[in-house]
Amino acid sequence: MSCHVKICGTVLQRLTYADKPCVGRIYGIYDNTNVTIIGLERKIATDKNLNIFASLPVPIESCGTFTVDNNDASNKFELGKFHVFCNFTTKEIVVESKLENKLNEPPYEIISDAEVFARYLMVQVKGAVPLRCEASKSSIQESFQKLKNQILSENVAFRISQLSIYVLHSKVICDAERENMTIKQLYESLNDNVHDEPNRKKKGKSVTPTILDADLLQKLSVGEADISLNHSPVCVLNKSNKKIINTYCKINSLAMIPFDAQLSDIFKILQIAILKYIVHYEEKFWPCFMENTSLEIDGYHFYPPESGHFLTLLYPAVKSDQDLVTERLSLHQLLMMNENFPMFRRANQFISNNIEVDGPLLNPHVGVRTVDNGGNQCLVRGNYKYYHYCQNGMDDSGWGCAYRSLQTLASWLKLQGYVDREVPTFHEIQKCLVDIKDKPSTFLGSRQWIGSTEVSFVLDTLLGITCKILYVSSGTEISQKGPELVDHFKNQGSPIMIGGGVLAHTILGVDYNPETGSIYFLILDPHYTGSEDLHTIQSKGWCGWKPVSFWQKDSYYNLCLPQVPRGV
Amino acid sequence: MVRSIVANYNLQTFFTSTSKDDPGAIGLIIGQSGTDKDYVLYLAKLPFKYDKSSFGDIDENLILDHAKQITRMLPGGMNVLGIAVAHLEDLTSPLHPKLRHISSNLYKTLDSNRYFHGNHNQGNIILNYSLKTQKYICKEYNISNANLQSVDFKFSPKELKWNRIDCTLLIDEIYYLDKEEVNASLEEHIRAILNQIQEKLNNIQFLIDNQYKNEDDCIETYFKKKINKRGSKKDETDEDKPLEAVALLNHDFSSSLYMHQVVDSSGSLKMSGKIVSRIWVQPKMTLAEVSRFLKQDIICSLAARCEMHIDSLTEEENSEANEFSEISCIHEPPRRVMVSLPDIEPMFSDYLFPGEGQLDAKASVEELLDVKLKGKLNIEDLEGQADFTKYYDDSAQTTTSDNVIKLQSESSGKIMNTPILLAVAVLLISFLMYIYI
Repeated sequence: MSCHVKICGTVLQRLTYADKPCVGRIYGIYDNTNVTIIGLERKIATDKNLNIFASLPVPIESCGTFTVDNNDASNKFELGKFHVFCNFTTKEIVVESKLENKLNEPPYEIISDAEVFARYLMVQVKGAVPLRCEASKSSIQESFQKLKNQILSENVAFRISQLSIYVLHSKVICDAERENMTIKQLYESLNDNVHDEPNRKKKGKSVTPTILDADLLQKLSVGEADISLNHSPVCVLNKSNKKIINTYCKINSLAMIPFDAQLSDIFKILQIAILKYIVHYEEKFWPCFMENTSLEIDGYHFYPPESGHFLTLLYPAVKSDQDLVTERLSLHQLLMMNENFPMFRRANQFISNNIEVDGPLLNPHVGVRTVDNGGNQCLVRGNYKYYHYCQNGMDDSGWGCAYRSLQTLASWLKLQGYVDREVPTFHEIQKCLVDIKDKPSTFLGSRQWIGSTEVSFVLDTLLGITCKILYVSSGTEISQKGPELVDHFKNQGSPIMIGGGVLAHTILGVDYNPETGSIYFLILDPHYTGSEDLHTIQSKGWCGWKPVSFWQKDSYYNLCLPQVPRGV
Repeated sequence: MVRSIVANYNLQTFFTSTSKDDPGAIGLIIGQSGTDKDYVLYLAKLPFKYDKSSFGDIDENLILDHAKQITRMLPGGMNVLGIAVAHLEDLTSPLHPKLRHISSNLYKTLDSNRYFHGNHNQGNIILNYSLKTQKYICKEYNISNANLQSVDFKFSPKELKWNRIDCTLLIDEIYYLDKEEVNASLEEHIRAILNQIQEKLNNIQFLIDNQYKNEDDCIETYFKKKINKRGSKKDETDEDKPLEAVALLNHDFSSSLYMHQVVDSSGSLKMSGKIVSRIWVQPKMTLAEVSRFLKQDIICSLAARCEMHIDSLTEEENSEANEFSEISCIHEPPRRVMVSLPDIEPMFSDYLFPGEGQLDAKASVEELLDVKLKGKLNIEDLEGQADFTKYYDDSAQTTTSDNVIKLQSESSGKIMNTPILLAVAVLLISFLMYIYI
């Protein structure tokens, strides 16, 4: 029997980040004798009871070990069937597998995380389950046990509205003509309907994973013949003083359902996902209970591009992002991820692209046609929102472009978790400039332009973010800033506001070829006056790659580059 | 649009059996109210006749009380729709002041307990049969603006078709009492737990016959599909088969009742058991209406039995004052049984206290619905009585006091209370002593 191994490129990428020899676990998905390695967890001494496995969506499981530049193979197969060996100095990777007690060196194939997610439908089960009992350790343990038993029973069900199905223990309830479809067929049959709708607003090409919502339901009815509770309702009145908890667990669990699975497979996968979530929840619950703080815990899903997979983290509501900094740092270390940027603050949580929200579009550059420059593409890190002319019923056409670019920058800072402040309004921006005496009081309510320096003043004053200003005397001179801009996107990752003699724009990334010196800019244009229609924005070039000729030769430019604090 | 009302064909006898020389007959119209059409299932003749010459002397309270009691027996989705009168004259043009009065008070009476869902969304129907002209006059009286409107009334050419929907629901609810609440009466505790159950019911979605449907699909579509699938022969058996409703709860804890911290509680009221719900609906009723009827049926049945239980307790027991304050107490409200009447497809409910049986149900059905039943009443006793040993054990574990008393209401009003239990215990001990010494 042979096995086939696929390894996510992000896993290898992270292995090569290792600055010293290390060992750890690998996580992946089995499919008969095939395995796709998706995640890893480095073994570190300061491991603060963090449990990566608990955070991974079902059905990802522990499937082996890895070592980097470490020939100590003593615990090689302790944890699973596979072993990935990475020689750091030569960057050589060897995969060993142990199947039916035979050692193999199966060939492996490197795939992208996009390829992995193309095979799965992500489903997020949301709901709540009651947790009501005496506030004693034994009662709470018993309640959690009851909860788990209930989840494992036939009395749990799910509704996935976007697929028009109810998933019960015994069967999946859907339209009769869809009964025998696979999940892919069902999903596509319904997605076609979506495209038929006249309102295609906000729909566009997208490469980020789609998450569908499922409701967790509790079945309260039984068959008439069921004898589990065979009597009419009775009431028990008990009058004794007790300390109690009268609360509930918020469920927000993630599962990956293979597109080629049958509808009847959904129940088991979601059931296990919920069970895993409750086990994880219970772990987080005890410290809250022992410390006598609020028992509210929320689940957040993260999809940092560096990890290549989803992680669900549970944060007690009472703990601020600042309180959780050591936990996050350990997490970055365990996952072998860059420790200079926040990836697991609450604001970093994954935002599903199928959520239709009012207001500015999220990341409109995702899916734009790329250029063939042969260079290194360096883009903005993480989410931002597209602010442009004429939004929220305000006609700022002709003068508000720098304000809008500033708002885009502010949205990025908020969505990365650097600031906890809403995006400033025009009024707030103007008032800030008056307050710091940069502008006279007549500026308030006026239609006067602002430039890069004003943008940096406002970001500094209102958001506490300092900016670096780059000055270029002509449009052609910008092309010489290639290395600096590459460095900015690599080490800061923030969008850049550019203004000067003429119009203001936002730069979201550069494609710089150091050999030829050729450079392209990913531009987000705030002068767009239309509705939030991604298709128009991308196809008409309101967001797209532009050559150097985009900048005017005879005009000077100032670039405002927000500088972010290092750390997680 | 004029409201349209259709009554089951056999109900004509209510009027035609009254001759000109008899005293007049008055009854309650029982049926289902749909968006554009109402369906009359039954006319429940009141157990008294009146002198036709003095219609204004009718004791209104008797009618109102009767309507209240009948409402408790009706399955969800059935209401007292109005009043039927067989009289010499037309009492509706102009509207007899007594009828106007009864109509508005009927509305108020049925509205008094929100969980009984006694009222439907339309005005009250007044169906008047003139013995002189042998004609039916049907009007709708709108309580809010005192308007009287004509409605389109007719008898169905054949038996009205009803579809039955069944749901057996498990209730397992606990309500924690805080310091202020704990000394309130049992009635108030029950109201609090009913509110909590109602909140849950609001978040229930029903899945009927394991089919995925839209809220505005009607019940008859459940059968049409089957006809297409299996050919035409089996249709009838299919349509007679009750549909099963699965209740799925989407927990919503937005209520302020829940807190994310340890709190002090001074006690709790727990309600657990099973409720058998059966409703009958017209084929044109939508899934949304059916779901509403089922929810009404469940809460109404719970509220009805709790009210009967509380009525049967002495004031002392209800107030839970003094001597009962430190003990755990089990209450067993009467259970629901379904009773079937001859020639009517939908069944009615009755509530039996422990110790009551078929004969008790028969007596109340005969009285309230004006039927004479030959032989035994056909009842279905589906919920069953509780086995208390389990509850004694549970309570003993959860209370500091070993004193657990059971308050089981009985038709005779006999209540077990602590002194009696004590007396029995003393008697037992002395009996044992007598044997062994």
